[in-house]
Amino acid sequence: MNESMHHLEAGHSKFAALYQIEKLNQVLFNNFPDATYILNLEGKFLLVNEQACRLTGLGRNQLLGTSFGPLINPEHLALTRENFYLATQDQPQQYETAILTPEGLKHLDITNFPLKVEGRIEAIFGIAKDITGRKQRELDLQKYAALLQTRNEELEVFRKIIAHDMRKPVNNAIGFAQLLDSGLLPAGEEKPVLSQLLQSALAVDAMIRDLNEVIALKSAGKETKEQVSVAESVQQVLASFGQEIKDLPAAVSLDIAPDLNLFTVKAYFISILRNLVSNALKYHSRTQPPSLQVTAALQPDDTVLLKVKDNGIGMDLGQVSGALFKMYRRFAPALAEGKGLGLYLVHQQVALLGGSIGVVSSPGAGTEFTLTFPRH
Amino acid sequence: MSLQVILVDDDDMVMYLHKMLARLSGLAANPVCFGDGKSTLAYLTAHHQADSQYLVLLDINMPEMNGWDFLQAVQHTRFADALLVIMVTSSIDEADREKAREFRQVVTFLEKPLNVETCRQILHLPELKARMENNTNFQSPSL
Repeated sequence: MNESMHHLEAGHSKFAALYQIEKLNQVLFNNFPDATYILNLEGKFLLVNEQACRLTGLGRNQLLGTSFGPLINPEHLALTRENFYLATQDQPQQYETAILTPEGLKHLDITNFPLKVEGRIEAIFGIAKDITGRKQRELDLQKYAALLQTRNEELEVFRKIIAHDMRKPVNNAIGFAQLLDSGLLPAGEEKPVLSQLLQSALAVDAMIRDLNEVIALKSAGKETKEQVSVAESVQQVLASFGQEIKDLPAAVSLDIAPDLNLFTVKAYFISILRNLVSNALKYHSRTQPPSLQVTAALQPDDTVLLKVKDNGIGMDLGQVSGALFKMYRRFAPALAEGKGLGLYLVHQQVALLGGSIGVVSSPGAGTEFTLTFPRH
Repeated sequence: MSLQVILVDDDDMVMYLHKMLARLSGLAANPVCFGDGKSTLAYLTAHHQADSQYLVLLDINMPEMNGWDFLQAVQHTRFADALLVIMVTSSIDEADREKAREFRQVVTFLEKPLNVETCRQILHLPELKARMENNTNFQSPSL
């Protein structure tokens, strides 16, 4: 300040120059488009301009003499204090923070630098630019970018399912149809080929249904919840696998209180049960009589604990690690023609119902899925 | 000298179809079948005799040991030169063709599904014909 005044002295008295500059400073300070203020070294407002009052939604009298601390959004407070402290240590700062105002959260770009009098730091000058609009757009963009990435990854998985998994039964169907069409088959051998052709077509159908169910889940969330009897749902699902249970045969045991109810989306709950029971039967033991155990009980914390346990071929969880509930993963392709979407569906549906799922398994020792659902 | 046809695929339906096609096309009346590379390798290791020749119809994506791992594994065996391999895949992509060039056993690629016609074409592959010149045990109605 002193140095620059020497230059202005030519033609003016020292007092006039000082007065003019003071006046200019004041006008500039008050009408500056961004919030400007001066804080003492304890962080209390000594001076604020119009825009600072508008930005905070507080009057000049409310601001002056109070600390900036209570204005700051709690999660930004530590960083803001740190930056203010550094400014008091003669290190000018520029940083982003957020304040709580009657109009809601506002994001600010802050510049802090020390004001010195005769070389000593006496106060901190601040400029606060309102960047709420920009920040909001940034956050929205980040959100959309993340969403887009997830969608793209899912699309890629769908593409793979269609290119590889779906291709397989379609190719088989074409192969069998061509064989029938060739006229080379002796009459007696046509029947088994026809039945293979039908199996291939059914496999394509099952895959399309599964894919559709997965896609439908994505756009779900508004399904209505209702009181669902756990025991009845399990019975219903087991009944649909009646033939397979009889053919294996699998020993089924249930332990579910008849009055145990869940307030849930019935279609999801049934789908979860169907997938787990289907897996238990599909990957049944080849060395001992297959068994399937379903238990459900109310827990002290008002959640329902559901267990589906088999004595089947099991799996090496160390090997499958985090991939078990991902889309398109098959772990025993030689034993059963899985589509890899079943456990992914289960996981998504359990999540949508606010529940959780865990698994205990090892090769040859069966598999136990443990699910927890909120009762309401 | 004998030339044995070996089918390798993890899909039971594919196996059923290919077995039938091999028979109807005259490629092989009783092909040997395996669900993965590992058991194929074990079979060859146990049964290979000095004058045996093999035609392997090899799937790529299989559990345990896939088609590429199988090819890698046979390179330093005593039957490495006794194998002719036809890669049989759902979709042939350029990267696979490139990769196949590393293995002298690979004769060609065929896309699934095979049919009687493609199986008959196998019989006319020059590489196969060359090996069959002296082959008395290999009988085919279409030759």
